[in-house]
Amino acid sequence: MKTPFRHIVIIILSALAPGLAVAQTGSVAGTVRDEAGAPLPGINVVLAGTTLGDATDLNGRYQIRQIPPGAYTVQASAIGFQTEQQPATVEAGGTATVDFVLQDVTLRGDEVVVTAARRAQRFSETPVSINLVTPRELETRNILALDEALRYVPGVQMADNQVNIRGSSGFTFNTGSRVLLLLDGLPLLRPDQEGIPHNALPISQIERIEVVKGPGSALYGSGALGGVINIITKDYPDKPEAAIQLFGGAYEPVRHEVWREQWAEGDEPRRFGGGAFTFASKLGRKAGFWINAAYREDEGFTNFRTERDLDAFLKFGLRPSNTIRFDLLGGWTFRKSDSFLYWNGARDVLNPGELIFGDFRATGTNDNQINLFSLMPSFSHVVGGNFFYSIKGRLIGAVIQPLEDDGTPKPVENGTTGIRYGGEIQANWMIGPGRHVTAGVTSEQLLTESSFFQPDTVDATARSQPERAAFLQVEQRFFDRLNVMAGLRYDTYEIDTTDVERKLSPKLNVSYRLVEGLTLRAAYGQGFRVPSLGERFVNDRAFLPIVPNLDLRPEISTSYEIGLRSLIPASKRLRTQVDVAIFLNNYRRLVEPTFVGEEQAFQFINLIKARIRGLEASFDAGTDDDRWLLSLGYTLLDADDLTADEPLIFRSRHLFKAGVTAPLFGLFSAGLDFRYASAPERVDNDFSRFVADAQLINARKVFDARLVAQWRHLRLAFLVDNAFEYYYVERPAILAPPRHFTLQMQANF
Amino acid sequence: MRRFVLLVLLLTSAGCDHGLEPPDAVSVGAIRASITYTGAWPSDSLFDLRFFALPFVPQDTLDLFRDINVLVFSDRLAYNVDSATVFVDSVTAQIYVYSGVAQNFSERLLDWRPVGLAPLYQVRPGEVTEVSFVVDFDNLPPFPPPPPGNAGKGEGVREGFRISNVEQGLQNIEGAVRSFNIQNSLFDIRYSFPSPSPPFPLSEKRDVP
Repeated sequence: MKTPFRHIVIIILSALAPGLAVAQTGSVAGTVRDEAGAPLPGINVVLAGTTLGDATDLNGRYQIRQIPPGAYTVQASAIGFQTEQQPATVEAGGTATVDFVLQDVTLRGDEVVVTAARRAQRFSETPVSINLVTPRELETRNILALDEALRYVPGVQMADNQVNIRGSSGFTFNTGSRVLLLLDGLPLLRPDQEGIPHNALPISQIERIEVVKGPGSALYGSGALGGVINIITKDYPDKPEAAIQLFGGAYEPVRHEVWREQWAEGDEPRRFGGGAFTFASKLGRKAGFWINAAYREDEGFTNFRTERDLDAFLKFGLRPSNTIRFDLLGGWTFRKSDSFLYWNGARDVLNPGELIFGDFRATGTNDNQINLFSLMPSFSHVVGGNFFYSIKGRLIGAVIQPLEDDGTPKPVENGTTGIRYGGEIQANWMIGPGRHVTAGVTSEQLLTESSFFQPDTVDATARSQPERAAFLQVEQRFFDRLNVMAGLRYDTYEIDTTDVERKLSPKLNVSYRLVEGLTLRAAYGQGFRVPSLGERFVNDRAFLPIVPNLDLRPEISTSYEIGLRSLIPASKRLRTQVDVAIFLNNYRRLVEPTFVGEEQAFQFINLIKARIRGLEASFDAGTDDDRWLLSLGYTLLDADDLTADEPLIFRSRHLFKAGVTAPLFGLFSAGLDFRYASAPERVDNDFSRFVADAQLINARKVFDARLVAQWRHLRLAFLVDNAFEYYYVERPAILAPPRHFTLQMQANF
Repeated sequence: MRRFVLLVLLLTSAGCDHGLEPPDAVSVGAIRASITYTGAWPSDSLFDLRFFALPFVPQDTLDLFRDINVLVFSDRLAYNVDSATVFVDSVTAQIYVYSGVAQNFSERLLDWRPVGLAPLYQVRPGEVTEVSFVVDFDNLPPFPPPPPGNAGKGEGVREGFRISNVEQGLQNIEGAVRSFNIQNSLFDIRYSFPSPSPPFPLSEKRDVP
């Protein structure tokens, strides 16, 4: 009897133990609201000097349990809010109520960004180099296409329509991009050439553009070798909004008669123009949409450079509750154009070149019709205030058809068709104050069929490249100042049925807030890029002799960066932003187009072990009414081909950007932008063996000027791009646009 | 406002450079080549035959195509004939150190080799340069050509070259320079000529009328 009795006592005591423990502790609970009384979710509430804490839910409520009795200091903090502390006394079995009202101390320019960590965080605390292009900047510069917006970002260089971040890319015949383009977080590279469709974007409905510099493969996989551009589109508004934009202009005939006289239309101004319409509205209480349509026609400033574009985008949003949102973004772009591929020498830059030798004949122009379409559904669900997940899909298609002499498209079999589809699931979990976990899986299929590809079999030219990945990122904040973020991504790319590339991409980011608005950061990351289908399989002699390289391997980068960012305002009316970074990027197996003597053709080859190191500094200032704006950016690049012990080809050593906007009088304001890039230290002589004077690449010194009149909802702008008529090339053997004038009108309703 | 104007003026002063300019006109002339064929014509390895001219000495077949921009070549020549005259116009006025007739000896684009070589000559702006030489299919010139150390000196003649009109070829450049370097070649080629004073400046450029 003795033993069973003892067992019963033990069981009873065990059952009571938790209750006894609870009875020996207490809790603190309350709500956190802003100054307007609205509940603040996601606020970290901790007991100072302990590891105990909680985060507020969607209703702003929190509760910290199992606190030993005693006197404590309760602290509520969040980025963008003044940290508050209150005393609290915890009694055994009791609950102390401590409510907070936090003051918004958001620094001007400290917007929320989402690209650097795949979750929302304050710009000031991102642990990587990131630049924002805001709607204000798009409007100020009257931007009509993505490449126009990116030209003004420090460290970014455009080579025709190829984006180059901190020298990551040279000139790659527009085949393959070392910068990943995301639209609302989803990759938007074209399936045919994996290039960036600069014109095919709803510029009027862009909320902001985030440009992350340095490899982002640990979060985004292949393509993010040099950086990531994420275009965030607007949500639908509470009240209906509409805008009409019309523009027209002309390229001025070039100054040199030698150039003009070789093209019958060289003496005439070449016109361009178009318009855009956008409308956004709610649909009932829980849904809404926006639509954006644009048309552009351009006669081109050289022979064989005409272009017509028609774009239409629609975004539909559904919000059945505060915790669930569904969005569907769809777009279609039609483009019919002559493409100028290379000139006919430096004395005849307005005409395309031609190369004839025996039976080999190539021409420096191309014409085609392109249809691009995209469909991107996304669903996200917030569960319990600290956890949310999202499911996203993407479908991007391209149909490219060469044109007959009369302008009618040739059969699709003569061109290229490509489709890219896939999806991803991502979960974000805020485990505790300052502790986040982000994880997800993605899968994508790329299928392209092209008459330019070396056939897989005798009668099949289709090429596919399935991709699958899983990623994990853990973020921990220490002492409310130090933020450590570690991430890992595992990618598999099925090059063909027997060859699978696997890549593990780690990253480690650290940021330390010295004072409010001043953050020190350090970043390490690896990036990689799987060669595009075009780089591996293109087989063409119509424009340039290019042969495939089936043995092409992924290129890899390792990046280190230390930076300092300040958003501390100079005064109450003058906000300033300073960012300084030094960086080192090591590349292996860098893919470069190279002339291969044995093939008598160009071939993409894993050629180079390279290193790009440098320094970047930027300064932005603006008055609180945004009437005065100043931006300066300088990038020093030391880009070396370590294999050849020479500078990397097509990389500028110095990049400088400057821009100023100022009020003039009455309704008028004016602006001036200056872009400078030093001449590359080394150019590729292979290209110039075929194309006369293709080695001529000079420095870029381009001024863009504007005069703007704003009257209520009507805005008139007169733009003079390349105002000082400076002739330069952005990529070999193609003259960049000469001086051109644009008159633009926008009315908002 | 004043600051803005100052800034504009500052930036304006930086905009005085106008960038790329068209290079000076390349002076052009023409070549009329008289070719005499001897020996047995190839029966199964003649896929193409052209007159060509290069301002540098190629070191191998690939080098023939090293810079297609400067490679002068004619239309396809007739086969199985005793002689031919070729006229090539719009030829860059310069010295052509390696020219002759080349044979495409297979279906491959690259499989070319010279079968007869002309003397070194200079094409002068607006003028037709006459050159004649023999193609002996039984005695083909060495290819790749011998290294520069083996090149003939003083006569402008290299071993293996069949030059039928040395005087014509050298007349235009005799005494032009004691030595000169041909740019854009894999190596510098030095030729020596007897006369110390050039009859015309090498840098002179004249447009074709």
